[in-house]
Amino acid sequence: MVTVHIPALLRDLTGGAAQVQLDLPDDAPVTVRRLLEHLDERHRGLLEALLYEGDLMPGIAVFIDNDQAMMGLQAKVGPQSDVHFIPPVVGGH
Amino acid sequence: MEPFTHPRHGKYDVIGTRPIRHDGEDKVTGRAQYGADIHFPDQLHGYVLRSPHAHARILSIDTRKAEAMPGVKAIVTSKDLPRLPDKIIESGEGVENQKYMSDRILASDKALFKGHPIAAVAATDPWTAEEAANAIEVQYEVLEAVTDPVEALREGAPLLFDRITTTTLGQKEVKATNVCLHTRHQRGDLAAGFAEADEVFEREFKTATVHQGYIEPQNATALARSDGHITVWTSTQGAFPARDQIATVLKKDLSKIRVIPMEIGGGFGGKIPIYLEPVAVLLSEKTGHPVKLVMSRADVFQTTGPASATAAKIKLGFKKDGTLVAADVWMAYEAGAFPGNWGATGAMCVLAPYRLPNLQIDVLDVLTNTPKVAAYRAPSSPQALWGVESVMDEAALKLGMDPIDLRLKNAAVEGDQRPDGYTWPRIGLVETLQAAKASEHYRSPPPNKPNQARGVAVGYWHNAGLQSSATVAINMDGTASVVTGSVDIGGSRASMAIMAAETLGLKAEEVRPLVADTDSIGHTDVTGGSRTTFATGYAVYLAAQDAVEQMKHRVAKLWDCKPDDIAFEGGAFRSKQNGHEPMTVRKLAPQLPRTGGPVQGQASILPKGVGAGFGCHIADIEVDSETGKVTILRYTAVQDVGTAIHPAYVEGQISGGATQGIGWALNEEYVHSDKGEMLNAGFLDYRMPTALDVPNIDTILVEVPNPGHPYGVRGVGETPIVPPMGAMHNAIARAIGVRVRELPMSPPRVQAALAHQPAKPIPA
Repeated sequence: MVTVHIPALLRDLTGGAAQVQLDLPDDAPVTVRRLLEHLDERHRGLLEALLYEGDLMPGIAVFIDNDQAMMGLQAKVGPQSDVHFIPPVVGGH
Repeated sequence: MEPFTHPRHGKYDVIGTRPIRHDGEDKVTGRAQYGADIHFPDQLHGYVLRSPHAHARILSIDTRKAEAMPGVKAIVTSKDLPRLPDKIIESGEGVENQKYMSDRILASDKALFKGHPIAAVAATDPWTAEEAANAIEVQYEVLEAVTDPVEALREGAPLLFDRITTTTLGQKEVKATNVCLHTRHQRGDLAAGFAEADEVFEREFKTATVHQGYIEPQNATALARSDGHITVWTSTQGAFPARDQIATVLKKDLSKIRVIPMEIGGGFGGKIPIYLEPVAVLLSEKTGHPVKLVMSRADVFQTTGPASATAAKIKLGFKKDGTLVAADVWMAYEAGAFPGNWGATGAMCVLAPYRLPNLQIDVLDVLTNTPKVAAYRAPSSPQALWGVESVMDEAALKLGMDPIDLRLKNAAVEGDQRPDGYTWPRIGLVETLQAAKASEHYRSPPPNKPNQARGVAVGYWHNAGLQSSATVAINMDGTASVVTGSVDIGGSRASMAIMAAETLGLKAEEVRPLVADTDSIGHTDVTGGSRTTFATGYAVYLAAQDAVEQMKHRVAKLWDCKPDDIAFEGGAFRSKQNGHEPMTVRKLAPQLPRTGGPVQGQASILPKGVGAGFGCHIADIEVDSETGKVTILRYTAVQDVGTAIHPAYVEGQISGGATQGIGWALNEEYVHSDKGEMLNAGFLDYRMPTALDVPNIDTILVEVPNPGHPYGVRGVGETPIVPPMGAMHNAIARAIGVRVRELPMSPPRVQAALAHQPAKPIPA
């Protein structure tokens, strides 16, 4: 069961739910893009909100099991993964 | 909690020593080459004409008179820049819309802040260039300006753009607004959390716009050759991100542009964006000569990115035993004249040190007629955390708890979640607080004369990883050269040399560190985000390991054995069969030519395992009851630094960060006229701390090694700017009995607070 943490400002699309759990088909590796497509079937609008010109929106990073997934939409999601969409880390020093 | 023990902690030969920096002599003798030192025989000088208005429509630009002046070689305006698409991209610092990048370099239809570049001139000398720029006739339709983010939120406030609506993760509102981004983090049940609280504090805070205040102004020299290749010499925190930005703004191939990073006289985040570079390139393309541009100090203040002014409402709920049960935070961050996302970073930081079951954080990035804000050392964290630290101090007093104990009770530990959902790995906040509490400073009695007191506060910065490249070449005498793409701002050459020396079994002085340009090393991201010693240091370690592996093969040839039969331990190659005397790199190096030729290790990485940084500062102060001036009596900064590679530079980073934070707390602010002009664009009127204002800052290095780095490195440079505002504020409040909830806590503001001092001060 994959757990997707929904960004606070998109929770109106999930009926207020902060987390959504999904059973993914285990016949093929699942990418973040595929995960979002599955999610969008249940909660219309999520895909559009998180994508920009076909890619993950600039300024948003995907974290899988607490590691920033640099492959973005192409990153692989495990069957028990925890997935967050949060702003990436930037710095100043 | 069991103390963390890094497998090699305390067993290093070079790490933890304090060698003299490799670039020290050049810097103290003035031989080091900064951007303004560049000179070519056929060089031209550029000057930028800037908008005198904070908000105006540009009706026309007439350059004919200027062009006719003797000595003038070229003039450029926004018409010389390629039109860029309305497209958001990842740039040197976060995200930026390409169209706005172009408009920021040279204004097209509107001037959006005083100092916004309008046109630029290249001439045979700087005075002719300035005179010609001032001869350019620009007709403006002056518009009402707004410089305060709270004012910019009001109904009817002047709008900077007709077409910007609030963007919330792709959802756009219809109505035009100055709010360019809304970020929210939410967890638990806020109402239930506050219902559970025994004490609730709800307070408002404000901070002013402040500048990084680096000593060296921005500069750029460009030479566009007839074959289309361009070289740019500049003062930048990242040659590669600068090249990316130049290529984007000018629509060039990256391979056509070489950026040579000069020595840098400070940056603190402000030298990640580009300003002059594309203008210098355009002028060089028009003239065929190298063109040099250097900003004045007033230009730096009025046109480069400072740190956001902010407004905040912070509501925290506690149980009687001090447990934090709920937090509701609203903040507005000044974005400046173009959309940005620094408020989103503030939203990540504002409650990060504490474990909280119920929270909501809403942060707005708000457009204003001021320069687009830029990163400034732990960007957005100081403005976010000082208000929280003020409320923590109030709560400690109300609940009768020691302020460090209250923080220890709520401190985040491994496995807790940051407000944005990230789960903390191994962090050292608890150890930092324990070290602060155990310090001689904290154990000594607080100053107790009238208007004296002690304050404490914590700070946080997440630090960054990003991309880095390094090579390590073994010289034939057994010394080594390390090449990286990381600009050296705070002594990173020495840190790189130390880590290479540790890995190769050499002395730090036997390793020569070099900073390369964009044609000479693989992509390396900015010196920023406190990432260089972590990420580029990691690349250096891997490159040195690569060299060691190559050398094992050479030793195997000499010993007629398999490489796997050789170990590299204690700075020497050793036979696992015990058949040979150990061989050091120095002994092996002369034999490299006959065993296969030169050895050069290399690594290019995007490391994970970034270690977050926490600090706790203790300030003893005295308030002059007549003038409102605050004098610091004693100051101690405690910080989890992972492993201190070069302790003197770690201590220097902490002292420097604390000093900048003290300036932010007590004196620094942009003062604007009602027309949006900055009235204090110089160091005489923009009051930064001097040596007379700040005592010696004691530092305590807590070493909780980061398990994500081979030598346990955490970023250290940014965290120390975060706690000073809270520590100073809490000390002042305890000294005079009034909380000054607006920065800077300058003498007039403290004096005004003293006028409302209650009969009985808050007990220390």
